[in-house]
Amino acid sequence: MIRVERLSFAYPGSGGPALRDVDLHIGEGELVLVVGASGSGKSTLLRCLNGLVPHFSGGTFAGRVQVAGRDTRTTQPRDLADVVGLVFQDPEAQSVAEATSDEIAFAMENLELPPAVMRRRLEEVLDLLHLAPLRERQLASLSGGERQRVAIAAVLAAQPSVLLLDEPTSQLDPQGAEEVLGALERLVHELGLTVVLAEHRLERVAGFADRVLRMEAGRLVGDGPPREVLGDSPLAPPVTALGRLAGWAPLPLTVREARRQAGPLRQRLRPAPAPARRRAHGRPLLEIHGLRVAYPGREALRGVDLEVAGGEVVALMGRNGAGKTTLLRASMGLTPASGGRVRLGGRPVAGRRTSELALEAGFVPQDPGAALFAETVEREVAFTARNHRLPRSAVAATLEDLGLQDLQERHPRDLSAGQRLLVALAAVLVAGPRLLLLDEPTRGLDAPSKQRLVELLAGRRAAGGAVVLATHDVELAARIADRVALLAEGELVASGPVDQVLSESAVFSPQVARVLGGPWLTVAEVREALEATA
Amino acid sequence: MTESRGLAPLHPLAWLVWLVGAAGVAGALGNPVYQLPLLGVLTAVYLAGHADAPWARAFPLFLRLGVVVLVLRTVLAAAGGDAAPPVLFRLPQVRLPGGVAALGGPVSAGALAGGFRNGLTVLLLVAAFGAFNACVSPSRLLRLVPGFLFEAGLVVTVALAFVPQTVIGLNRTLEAQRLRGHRLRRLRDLGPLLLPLLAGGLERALTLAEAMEARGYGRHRPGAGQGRGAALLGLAGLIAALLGAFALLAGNAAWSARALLGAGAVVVAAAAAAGSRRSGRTRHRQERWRRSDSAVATAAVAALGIVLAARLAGSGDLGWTGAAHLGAPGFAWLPALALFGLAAPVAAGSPR
Repeated sequence: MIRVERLSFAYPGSGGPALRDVDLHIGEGELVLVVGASGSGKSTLLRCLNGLVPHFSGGTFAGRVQVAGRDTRTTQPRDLADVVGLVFQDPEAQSVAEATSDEIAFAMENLELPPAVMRRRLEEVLDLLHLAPLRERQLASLSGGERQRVAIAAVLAAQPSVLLLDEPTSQLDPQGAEEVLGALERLVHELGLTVVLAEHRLERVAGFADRVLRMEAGRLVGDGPPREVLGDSPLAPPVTALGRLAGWAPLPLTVREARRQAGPLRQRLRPAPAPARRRAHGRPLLEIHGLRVAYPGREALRGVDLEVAGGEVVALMGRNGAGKTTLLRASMGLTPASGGRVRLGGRPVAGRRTSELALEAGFVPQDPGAALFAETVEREVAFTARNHRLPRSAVAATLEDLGLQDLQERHPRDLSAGQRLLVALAAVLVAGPRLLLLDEPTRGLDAPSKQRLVELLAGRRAAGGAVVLATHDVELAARIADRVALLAEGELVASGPVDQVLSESAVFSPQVARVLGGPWLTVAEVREALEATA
Repeated sequence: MTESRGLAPLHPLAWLVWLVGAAGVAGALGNPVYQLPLLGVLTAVYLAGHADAPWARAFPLFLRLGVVVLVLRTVLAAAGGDAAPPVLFRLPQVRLPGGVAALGGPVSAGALAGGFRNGLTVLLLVAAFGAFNACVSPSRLLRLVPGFLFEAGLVVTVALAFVPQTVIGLNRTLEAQRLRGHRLRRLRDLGPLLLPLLAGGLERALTLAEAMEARGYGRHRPGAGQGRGAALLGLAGLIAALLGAFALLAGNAAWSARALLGAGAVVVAAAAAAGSRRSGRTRHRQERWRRSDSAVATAAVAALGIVLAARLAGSGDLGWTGAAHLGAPGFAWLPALALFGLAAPVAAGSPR
């Protein structure tokens, strides 16, 4: 179905090639997972497969790519649209219509399908991706996860034989991700669809893949069954890492496979003391009582209570559209409350300037790169320092704290997603807030960047600061959170220590808890316990 | 969720006819006695018909732009030194080398009034366009673009997405700045944001263009060839037709102008026919032409017809011929009532 021969490619004006000598053959009906760090060439490879590279990008292209027998050098991407569909990373940037059904129909209209066929296929994909209730909604009014599903539906409606997806679950809550992946698996099994997907959150996709391609600096360094490629890789999902630790063979890729072999490990862990959980003891930095926020036509928050004290990390979890972002924004006074009280640093938020609140709490919104505007990293941080009349030395100190000294002359736009997040963090942290509010910080982040973030947050906690992070990333919450507040439909449905809330939840429990149950949330905790009992 | 708030959605073509009518009427008027009520009518149409979507929020912006033009036109006309009496006051005069043109000098009431009504015309044109923009979604309009003009359609879609995206980007950046302790003091603070905003907007626009291309926008039917010839021919015909129309409107009734318009129209039609055979699109959502659409279109055409006829016949002082010496503007009921034909979208849109 897909044949790639000695493919090399460099973007115009770039330093080095984005792809080097890639040879690849993907058969019909395969579900292929592409893994690798940010900038390793995953997105570029996907773009090569539907001809956007080189037709749209320009650049130096060598080698050959054939899809369904068509050579991408001589076929325009639009003329490949009936065989290849590509779902881009950012669903908001790819929508052409205003209403869901028009968006989904767009590709079918271009393929000149008769209206009767269009209507039938529209119904099919609406059902497949659980979008039927949203069919006439304005796209602008949908949540990120809903828009992601619409983007996938819009491509699927053309019934391509190859589907390319660039981080399709990065915006989705665990349940939404499972729905999308389940739908993909069904399509692969029932219709023989060939799927190539790039993804960082391997815990979600490893079990679905037939084959894994590992990219490193533009080269294809691994190609084979998931167990082989991921087995010895630091990118492996937690269950695989757990299997490695316990010496299981074959290495598990899914929770189900791991549970079958987990009996002896559970026995060994029985005498071990449960991992220690921290209790916050600082004074409350953020106090929310009975908070209500109403948007036109719907209530986003209906009476939420939450207190966050110094020395703790609170994960705010819940499905797409549950009100997580609204809660963070209301905490900063960016979205006015229609009822209840919010106090930041002991004083009410209402009536205070955002610039003043910024000294108490740093807020990094979703897609931190979009909030950067300066020419260099250093100026980005200096902007904040100047506004708060802080000395230049504060800038240098913050840059060093976050390990950004080497990047300080670079343009923020040229950095990876992980580096941009660090710059956005530096730009609010230089003001010295004790509380940090993060909205979906791990969207699009690779494993090393995530590790860096975890260390950074742990450091702030140790220094007496507090962090509230809204996230879908269950594994991240398991690694760093002390408490979890679970939101549903604008109400707080659970709040408590991380092990209690996460292990009791069917949807928001990390892989290790699903395998071992009880208080165990991460591989690191299990490793420590085993070392302690050995 | 409905497209517009209270109104039954009118066919985009009906809106297009309305726009032509409104713009034509606005262009034909030079008398504030008619111009001001027309501004009221346009605002009413916007208020009643605008959709609840990001692209529909530009009307106030358009209006502000129009007011700026109005003020500028008035000031410039005053400074232009058209010294027909009565002179109100004198500005210090600056004479350009050679003595051809001068700025300042005597300011006459006539010049002020002339500048004001010219500015008002621009304001009305902008308001008509703004109301139209807010009431019809760009994507519905785009569906009217024939398939063979797909490059134009691509450019328009990307441009349409660019503006709201850039506004969203601006708001995001301003919020980020507030979050970083910044307080916007002067408009000049926005300067450094311009480049990153445009860069971000362009980046998103490019992604959108890629996404459209990847979903088959502008596909050719298999075996139909590239067909650039037809598109070029169509463009040439369009230019010829526009030139001809322009010459006719400018009062050049020579046969050559008519011939240019006619030939251009024929070429455009031929290119369109060839192009539509080559690349087509099917429609998911059929736009239906209802009775209310006919009513709105008829009312707009009638308003334009009556106003133009009155202007040509010289009745009702539509152009305010007395502006130069500040005579009181004349008035006639028929053209004044005709203006309210443009309010038809408000009446036609009984809530569904």
